[in-house]
Amino acid sequence: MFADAIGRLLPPAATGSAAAYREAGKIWSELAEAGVLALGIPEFAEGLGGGMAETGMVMRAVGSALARVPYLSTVAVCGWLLSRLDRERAADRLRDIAAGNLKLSLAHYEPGSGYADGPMTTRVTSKDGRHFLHGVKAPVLDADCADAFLVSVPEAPGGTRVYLVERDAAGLDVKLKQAVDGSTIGVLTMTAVAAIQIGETDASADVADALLRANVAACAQALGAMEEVTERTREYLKTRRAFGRTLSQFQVLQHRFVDMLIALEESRAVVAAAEAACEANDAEREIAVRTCKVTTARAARFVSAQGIQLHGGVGMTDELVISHYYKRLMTLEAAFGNGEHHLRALARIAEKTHGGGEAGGVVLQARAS
Amino acid sequence: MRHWENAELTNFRKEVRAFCDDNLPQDIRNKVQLGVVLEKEDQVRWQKILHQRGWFLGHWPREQGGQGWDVRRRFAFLDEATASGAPRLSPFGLSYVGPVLYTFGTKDQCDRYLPAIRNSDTWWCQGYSEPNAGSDLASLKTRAVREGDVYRVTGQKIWTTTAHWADMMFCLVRTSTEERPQQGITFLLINMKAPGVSVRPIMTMDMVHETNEVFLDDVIVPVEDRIGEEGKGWTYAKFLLDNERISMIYVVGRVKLMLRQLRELADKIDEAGQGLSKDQFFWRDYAALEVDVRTLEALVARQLVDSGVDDAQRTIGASILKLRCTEVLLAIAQAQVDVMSRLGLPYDTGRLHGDGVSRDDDLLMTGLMRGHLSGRASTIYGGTSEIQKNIVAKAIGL
Repeated sequence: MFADAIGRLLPPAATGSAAAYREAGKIWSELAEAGVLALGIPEFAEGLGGGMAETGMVMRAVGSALARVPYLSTVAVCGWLLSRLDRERAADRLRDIAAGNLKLSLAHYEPGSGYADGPMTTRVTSKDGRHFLHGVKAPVLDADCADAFLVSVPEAPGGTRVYLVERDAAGLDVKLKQAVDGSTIGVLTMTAVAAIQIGETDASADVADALLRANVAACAQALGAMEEVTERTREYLKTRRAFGRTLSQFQVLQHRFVDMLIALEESRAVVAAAEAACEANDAEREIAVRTCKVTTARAARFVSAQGIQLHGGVGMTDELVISHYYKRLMTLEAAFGNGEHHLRALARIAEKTHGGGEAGGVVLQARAS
Repeated sequence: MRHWENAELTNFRKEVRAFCDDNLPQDIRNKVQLGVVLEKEDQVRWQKILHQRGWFLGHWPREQGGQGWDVRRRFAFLDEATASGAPRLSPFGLSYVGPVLYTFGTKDQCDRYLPAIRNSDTWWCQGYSEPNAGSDLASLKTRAVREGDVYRVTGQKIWTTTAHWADMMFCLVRTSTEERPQQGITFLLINMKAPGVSVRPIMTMDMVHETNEVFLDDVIVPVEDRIGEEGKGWTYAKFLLDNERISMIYVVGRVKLMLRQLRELADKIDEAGQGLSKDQFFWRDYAALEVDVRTLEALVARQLVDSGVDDAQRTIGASILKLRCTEVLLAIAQAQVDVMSRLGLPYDTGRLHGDGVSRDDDLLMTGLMRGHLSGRASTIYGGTSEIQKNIVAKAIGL
């Protein structure tokens, strides 16, 4: 049922002209009407209580459609975070999200932090039970259409609190920059911006989980984009002729295309594994998600680059949709930590797990001290 | 000191560097170092400055107004000029049709066309590829029919970079259908202002208009504007394509500039509260790219030392150079993107045509992003990487 609605509202961009991407505003209300937004909203807020797999399905369609809809920010990340932090008290806001009346973006990273956990310099001041935020958050995804932002703020001695700020709040300056794929990058500058605290306890673990889920959703979106690139390339290889035969008859290109398929298959596999690990709240979900991002990023670079290369000159044009997928895949990798960032994180985990080599191994004897 | 260069060449390098540092206009240097778009006027201005010094035609024979530079001196010049921030010289007149003219053209053609190539008063473009003839260039279909003293030309060219600036186009056309398609090809010089010539811009994925389609609708071309013999155009085209491949040596200077830009980016963009340049992981990856660049330089050195020895080796060397130059270029551009990812990959298309004065971080990132996007064409134009491998395989008799 949802597959039909999604297929209708989010058709692959490759079947139309490059300029025919759906504009966010128009399609958002249609997605709401079709219940697609409610898919990712919990049942206590009259949503359909879908999990990672359902989110993944929508994200794949968004990816293949090259649609500019803030599903990842609003539903997959902020909707989830609200329901975790605030539970039943978030019900009104979650209903608004499902109805298409509220769009949210997470404002977490800062210019000084890069992809790292810190240092975060955003701070909160409180007076008479009211809270005010100060600092700069950038880059913020989907900042162009967000009605409000969930802002993560460090709280001594090493925790995190999440606050909600309205877009039109006094003291909030939202600067928008253009990203390489035509989407916008938000830079939020907050000077004593009134903020509502979300949740009663330390939000560190939930924010960390929200970021993991954001990565999985971005990878699912990338998967949808890669599927379209691969399919379009297959068609081109079968129809384009040179040297008296179709491109698909050259073994080098056959093998190259198979390499694309392998990358695609690996991405499908790691996205499914990461979705399952997050859904089950697996103790190893961090590793599954980071692995997913590294593998999918590597696959996306290869698939998108070969999509252009195998199309030859026309792949370089703005007119053909292939380069648009290329640029979208760039921003999807950059969101919530690029492949290189997650690989470094995995390196640290691997080193820590190994534990210094004093224990002795299966094959070799313990190192003499 | 490079082992294939003697003391005199080392001094020449110093001379070139000093001249460029003093005479390359700063606005042009700015645009090049930031990676933003250069206008026709910028290119012509620099070419004329070099010409006044006698260096624009450096690698042309003396009898054609050049300095007769061998490929080592030419490389030394390009390397130093690029290091100083000079743009790549437009190759169409200088390296492509110019040498074709003085090698295969008549005295009349040389008198008519070479002076304006020498002083950069005529801008040329290259009408080779067609929508259905890219890698398989010999299958081109633009038709030229002889009628008395003229040819009537009808067809379509694509990927004609700078056709929108051009006064003239050197063009491969089909004058007859033969058993081997190469045999029916003729090399014509076409006036871009002639009736029937129209140019349609093509926007590339970097959101810059640089290349075009050119439509030829019953264009009259005098026989005097045919180079050499009818049906022998492929020979002249191959001569030209050989020249195109060796001009890749300018990329060495380019990738060195890119490494510098990468280091600068790493200083400016933070991770965990300090510049990425404080991060050990960054330097490990950087070292790998440095190895790539030094390997490229060594490849160029071998080309320069061994060039002229053996036709097959020269062909192989040029193809390998094109292959590796483009791959290294893409790898460094990717590393730059990796750093800029932390800012969300900004790309301010409204500032792509730099004013030549601004030098801010945002503009640099836009310029570098442009380089990454436009760089994707480098493994496609001038013979795709796949075609280059075919060329090498054939040259070694596989």
